[in-house]
Amino acid sequence: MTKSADRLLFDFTGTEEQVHGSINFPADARFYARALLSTFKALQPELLVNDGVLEVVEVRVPEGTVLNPRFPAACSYRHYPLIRCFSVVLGALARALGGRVPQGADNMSGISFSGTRAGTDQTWYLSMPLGGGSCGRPAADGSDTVLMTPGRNVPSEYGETFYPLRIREFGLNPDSGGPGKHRGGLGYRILIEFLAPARVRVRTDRYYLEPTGVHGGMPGGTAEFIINPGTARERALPGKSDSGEVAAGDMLLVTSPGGGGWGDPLERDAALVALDVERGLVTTTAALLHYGVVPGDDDATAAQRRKLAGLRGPRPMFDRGERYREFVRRGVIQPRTSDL
Amino acid sequence: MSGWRLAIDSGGTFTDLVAVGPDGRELALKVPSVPADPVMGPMNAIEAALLELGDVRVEDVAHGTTVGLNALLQRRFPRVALIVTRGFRNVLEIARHTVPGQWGAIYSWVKPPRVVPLEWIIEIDERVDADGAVIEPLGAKSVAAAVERIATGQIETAAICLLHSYRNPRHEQAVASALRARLPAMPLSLSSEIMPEFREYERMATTATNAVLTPLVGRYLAQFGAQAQARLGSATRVFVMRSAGGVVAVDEAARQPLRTALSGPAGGVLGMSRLALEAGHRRP
Repeated sequence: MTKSADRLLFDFTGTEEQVHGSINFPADARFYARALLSTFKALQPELLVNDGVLEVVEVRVPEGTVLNPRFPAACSYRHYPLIRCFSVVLGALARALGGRVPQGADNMSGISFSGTRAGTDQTWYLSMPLGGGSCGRPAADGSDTVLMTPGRNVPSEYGETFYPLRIREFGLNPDSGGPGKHRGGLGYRILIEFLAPARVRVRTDRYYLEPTGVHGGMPGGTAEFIINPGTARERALPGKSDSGEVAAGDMLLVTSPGGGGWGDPLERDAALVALDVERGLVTTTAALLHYGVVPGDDDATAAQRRKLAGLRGPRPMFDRGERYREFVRRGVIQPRTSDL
Repeated sequence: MSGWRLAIDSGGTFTDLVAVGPDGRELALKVPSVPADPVMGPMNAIEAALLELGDVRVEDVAHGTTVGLNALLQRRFPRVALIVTRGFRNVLEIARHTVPGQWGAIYSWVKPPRVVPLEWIIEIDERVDADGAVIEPLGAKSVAAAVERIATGQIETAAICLLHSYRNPRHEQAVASALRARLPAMPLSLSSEIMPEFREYERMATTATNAVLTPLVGRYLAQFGAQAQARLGSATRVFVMRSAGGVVAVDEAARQPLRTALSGPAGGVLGMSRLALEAGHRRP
């Protein structure tokens, strides 16, 4: 992102070549100008984004990349790279503005099921769009379970009325909000019991890599899809998959991404951490290890915070998480910045 | 019609009264509202009307109010608890996961706090399926623990919203009985009575909102009904304007204050609609 006197340039030169998987986003520079400028609502919520942006925004998206693929290219999960572009722009703004800007919400997720109605040849199909946490920000914590695209969640009472499944739990995933002075929002934690055989399709952002923590904040929680958790028949589905098969009586545990934290978690008001623990949003373990807070004990909190600050040193602008660092150590990812 | 009919609309600042007599005579007057004691506004309006009309027989009183709406807008909520099915403690927080506005709104939008703080949403063991069949009986120990927490938590009003209670309300009713046995004076809002419809978030939010309005609006409406009848005679019927436009008996409105949350504005819309028709506008 380069700003000149009266223009803004987004240059995506260096973007990955288009891929066989379905995450190619077929769009042109005019589309990206409008879409990317919507992220500036993070700074100016009343901003009206219309074709006026074309006069001040230039976008370079090289042909043949995942952001501008040549025909033919598979596109059904195209929203994931687009949403990542939004987060990249917000990351560039964080660098430009010293971190004082809300960050991305890489939390789009969803599950769908299909099967055949017992005793008939009639098929059924249920899609459950899911959101997740949004990132902590200068003025507030991230929000829990939000989704930027249209599509409301499926009420459990609706799902159970029309489909052969039972929702055992429909809640928030504790500790999925990235620790920060302003905590990231929490993702879903949903436990589903199947009453009939079904095929399971899952898709999510942030399956391998944690949502980024910003300005000293820590990463949020990842998505998981686990069939029969805690049993000998436990198995995990990858983040974008249509190969799950379940039988009657099988369980599926779903978590969706949380938001990254904003700001140093050691600076979070200890009373807010204690309230998060009381509300079951943060565990006592995470309160101690990430926030340095022992609820109800000011002396222990002060001592733990001094200890953590000494152990850990200054916090980076971007914390992409332990999984990212592991990928770097193994050479899977070649980082382009010094912020590991 | 053999007596006078009074219509009284209370806003935050003024209370307006219109009276229509059996002979078609009309009276309109205005008195100040008294936010610290909202019953005084409409009662003062009744006194002012009787001063003008003399000793007449009043058949009906219809009342529109913004007391509930103002409490909601100003978030003046009492201490409230909500009892839910185990596994569904976060339904209010999650809502439908939507963000108002278009792309980009998600970065700045802050989900507003819920009417019941999460630490006062209490899960109990029980489960009813979509057909209303009990697949897990009510767990007496978990109900007793919930009652104990509420009894010792300075809670002023409680809501109960269990899964699929619109098909089978018996678990909600049993929890209500347990609460009443220990806390006979506590106002209770049951989702199977307030809004017996499926979709748990909407039913839970509606029931919880009714619960937070009950102490303030319920008490106010009950007092108004009693004082109006004490002044005008027990044969006078007292109604409250509902959000949907009709009127409901004042004791019913006191039990379900949410249904009158838009009472005042609804009366204004109906009145304007009637005026427009009389002025010759064809579309109501």
